Amino acid sequence: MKLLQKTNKIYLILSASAFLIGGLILYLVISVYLDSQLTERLNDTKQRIIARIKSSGSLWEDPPFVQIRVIETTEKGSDIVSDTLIYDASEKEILPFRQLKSDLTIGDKTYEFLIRDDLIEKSDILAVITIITGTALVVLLITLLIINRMLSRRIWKPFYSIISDLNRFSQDETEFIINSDTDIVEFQELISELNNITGKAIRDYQLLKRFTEDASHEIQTPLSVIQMKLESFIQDPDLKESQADLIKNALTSVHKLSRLTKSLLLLTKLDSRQFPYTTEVDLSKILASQIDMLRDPAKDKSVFIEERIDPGCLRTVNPYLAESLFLNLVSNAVMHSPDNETVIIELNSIQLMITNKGPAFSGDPLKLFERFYKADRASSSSGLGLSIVKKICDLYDFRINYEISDQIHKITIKL
Amino acid sequence: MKILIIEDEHTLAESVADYISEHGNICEMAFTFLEAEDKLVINEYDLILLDITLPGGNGLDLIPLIRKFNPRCGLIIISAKDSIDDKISGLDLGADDYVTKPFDLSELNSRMKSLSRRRFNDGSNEIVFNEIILKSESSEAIVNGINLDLTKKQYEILLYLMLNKNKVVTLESIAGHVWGDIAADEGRYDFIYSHIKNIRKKIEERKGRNYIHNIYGLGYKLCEE
Repeated sequence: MKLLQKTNKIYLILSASAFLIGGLILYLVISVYLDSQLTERLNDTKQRIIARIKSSGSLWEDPPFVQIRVIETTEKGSDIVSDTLIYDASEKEILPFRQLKSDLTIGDKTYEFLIRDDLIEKSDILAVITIITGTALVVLLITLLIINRMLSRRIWKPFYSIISDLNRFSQDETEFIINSDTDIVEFQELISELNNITGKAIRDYQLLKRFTEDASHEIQTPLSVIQMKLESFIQDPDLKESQADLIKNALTSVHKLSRLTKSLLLLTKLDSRQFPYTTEVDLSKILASQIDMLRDPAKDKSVFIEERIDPGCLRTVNPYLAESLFLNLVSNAVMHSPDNETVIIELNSIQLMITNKGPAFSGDPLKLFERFYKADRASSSSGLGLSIVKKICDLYDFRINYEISDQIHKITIKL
Repeated sequence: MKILIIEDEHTLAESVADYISEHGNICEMAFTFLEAEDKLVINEYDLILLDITLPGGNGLDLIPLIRKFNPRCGLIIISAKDSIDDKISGLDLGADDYVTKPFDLSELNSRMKSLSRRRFNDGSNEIVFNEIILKSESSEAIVNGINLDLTKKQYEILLYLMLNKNKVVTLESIAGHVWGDIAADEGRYDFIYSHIKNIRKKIEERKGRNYIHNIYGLGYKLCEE
């Protein structure tokens, strides 16, 4: 629920409750007041009649308001106040009245007075009061709502501005400051803390990025020297076969070391999210071209790659990472496939599936995604390929699953 | 061609200089930012190799200077950083290519040759070695006037060898250049052998001589011998 909705809801409920209770109390108070006024009037009338009788002896009747009759003394009872319905001749209809029945002995006669006052007035008054109060309530609530909305929006504006600023934040920016003019202390504190956090995040990121780049440089430069010296060496026209064999091994190792370093650095960069650049790429095309590159080396093992690729599978990712993902997956499948087998690669708009025959593996297939973990320790692979694959999948929330049964290895990636 | 190598690692600079110093190429070297600046202002070069991790300044800052004093020269950035940001900035600023260390000398050489052909279009887009003629526009290979009908991969291999003529090119280097880095990891290069075999056969069928020599299983060399 949005912030304004919640505050509005609470305001509304509380205001309405307050008004309703207030209205109820008003209604009750006025009702009681009117009643007591009515009773007072009935008693006043009674006193006037009594005074009349005592002074002039005449019985003044005014039906239906005043009715007097003589009764036997023995019938005398106490005062009773009740509500009745009486036909009013002047209004020509039956109306509700409050009636005071009072017995009084004056002189030698006992009179029964029935004094009445009509109740319509009371119910009319109450009706009007209810309408006025009700209308006032509605008007006040609406006004409250409008004022609340306007005020809330203004007051919370800095907060929303902070949120939209945060949405823009990305670690690889060089600088990021949240700016909001606000005199509200809590918001100022919030801004200050957030700027601290984002500042730190940016600094850490830059440090790590520089580190990985420097590490790369420090390692690759001497490797370059080794490789170049070896390459220069083999240009010697007097090169002997025995020398060539030695150099071949040395070159292979240098090459392997260099690839290993690059892979490790890639993993570090993936960890610290140094690939913010993304664009919409055609995965089908990238996969096809990676497979293309590996077809010939695969043929050496008589491994045939069967492609079942749906065209036009688009995703928004970093194109370099997409290439790396597919390259490592396909190369892994081909490398571990025994000779004379087929590797099946399927791609559709939902998922990528690679199936290949491979060595039996009794452990948890998920271990294969760990760095340097190799099912076959003697294999010449670096053991990092699948780690890279997993990290790239994690980065883009692609669910990856590795099943091994009966020596059939199947990797599924939900895109 | 006059070439300037801007690289702080001496041995590296010298290795590259040795390799590319063929007949007609003059190589100069600069080991620091300031040295490079001086040389750029005084001389004109046809091709510049720039290492962007230089002491005394960021190599990328040299690019505008290069473009100012040597607007037409080819510029290849070499770097150990493999940083995409640098790559993009470098190419944006006006570099023609970006190569990451460590690289094969033959790879670097082939890129330099391609770049110089593009830049200094000396009228022909042909690479010639005796009776073998490669036409880069149409990716055709012709021997004694007859088309070799090479596949795309075979053409790439032959082109790579021709650009690095008289040099031993390792199998790894060929695999890396034509098929990509990972293919060079596998360690098995039979597929290259079979391609070379086919290339040789096609040349022989057109009465050409075989110039492709296997050097002890290390790699191949295209030369007279």
